[in-house]
Amino acid sequence: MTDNDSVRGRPDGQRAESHVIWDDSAAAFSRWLSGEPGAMDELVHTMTPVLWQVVRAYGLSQDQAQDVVQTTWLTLVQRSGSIVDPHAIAAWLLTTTRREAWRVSKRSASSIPVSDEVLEAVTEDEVSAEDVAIARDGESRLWACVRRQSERCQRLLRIVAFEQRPDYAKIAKELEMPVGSIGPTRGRCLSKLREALELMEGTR
Amino acid sequence: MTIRDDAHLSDENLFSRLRALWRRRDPMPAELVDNVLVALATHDLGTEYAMLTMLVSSGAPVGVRGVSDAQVLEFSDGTRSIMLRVSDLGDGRRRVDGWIAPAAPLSVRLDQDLDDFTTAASTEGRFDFADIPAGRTRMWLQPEVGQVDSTAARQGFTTGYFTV
Repeated sequence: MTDNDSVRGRPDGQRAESHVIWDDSAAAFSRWLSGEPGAMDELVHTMTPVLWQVVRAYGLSQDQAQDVVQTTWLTLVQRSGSIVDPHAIAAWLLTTTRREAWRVSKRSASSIPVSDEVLEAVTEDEVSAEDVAIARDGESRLWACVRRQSERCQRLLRIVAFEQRPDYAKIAKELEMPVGSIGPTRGRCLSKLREALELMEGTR
Repeated sequence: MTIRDDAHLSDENLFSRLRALWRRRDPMPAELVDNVLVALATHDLGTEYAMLTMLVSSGAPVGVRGVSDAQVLEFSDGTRSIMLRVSDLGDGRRRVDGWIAPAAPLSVRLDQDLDDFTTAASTEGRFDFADIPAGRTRMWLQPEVGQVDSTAARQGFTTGYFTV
């Protein structure tokens, strides 16, 4: 970990966790390149859950999201020779996944906003004001706060949460936002979420 | 934005909670990893695996009563050829003897619809599957792990589906 990390705050949580994922991925990919076929299985197990989360941030259906993730892996084995630095494998996978997810979301007129679809999946514990008031579980409160954010904020926060070093220029294009606004928008989204959470947790 | 020392609502803490939230609210489908691995096992290979085409299929498929009890199949990509002799063991079982020319100690896998079988060819390029089910089959050949030291050397071969 370096001193000039752009991610603020204490080096816990996201940083430690994503470092493990990135290091494991780089090690597995190196072993695969050196002729150990089983290492690709490890890489798939490590990175697929992360890719899933990033794809779903783009509002794709379950089926579309699965296709995008599979396409990413197939692209990897077809173009593995072009990846010079094995340490960049996680970034390469995430970039490829975002590009494909964005392409599919543009193409798909029937794309379902992710907030709605996620909502469908959890209707049984849909969050109402009363629920919030009596929520004992921190996750329910957080979920209620997330759902109050704009769709754009929800997407941005989800992508940023699962990427170690998000490429703001590319994300800006994909979310149709000015490049220079991503950093401040991330900050604003995070601030709004924090305020909502503080308010809610303060009312408990 | 200020740096939060209170761990409860620091950026990192929030992101960590958000990841846990989305993982639980919108989890990756349980079958996705397996689907990816299957897709890789069957596609991967277009670039690294040379496709062997069937040159010869002599004799009728075995198992047809009174016609033949052995069938010879030959596959080649122009530089390497694989010959298979398929024998009928009865009861829908088959014995497969194979020869790789020029000889190479490749790992050989037969993929069938319900199962797959792996063996290793000898340094003379011979291999056999003593008892496998009849049915649709696809063959994969690749260098054994540890026998190659560079990406370029990971050259394998595969065939289309054929019936044994």
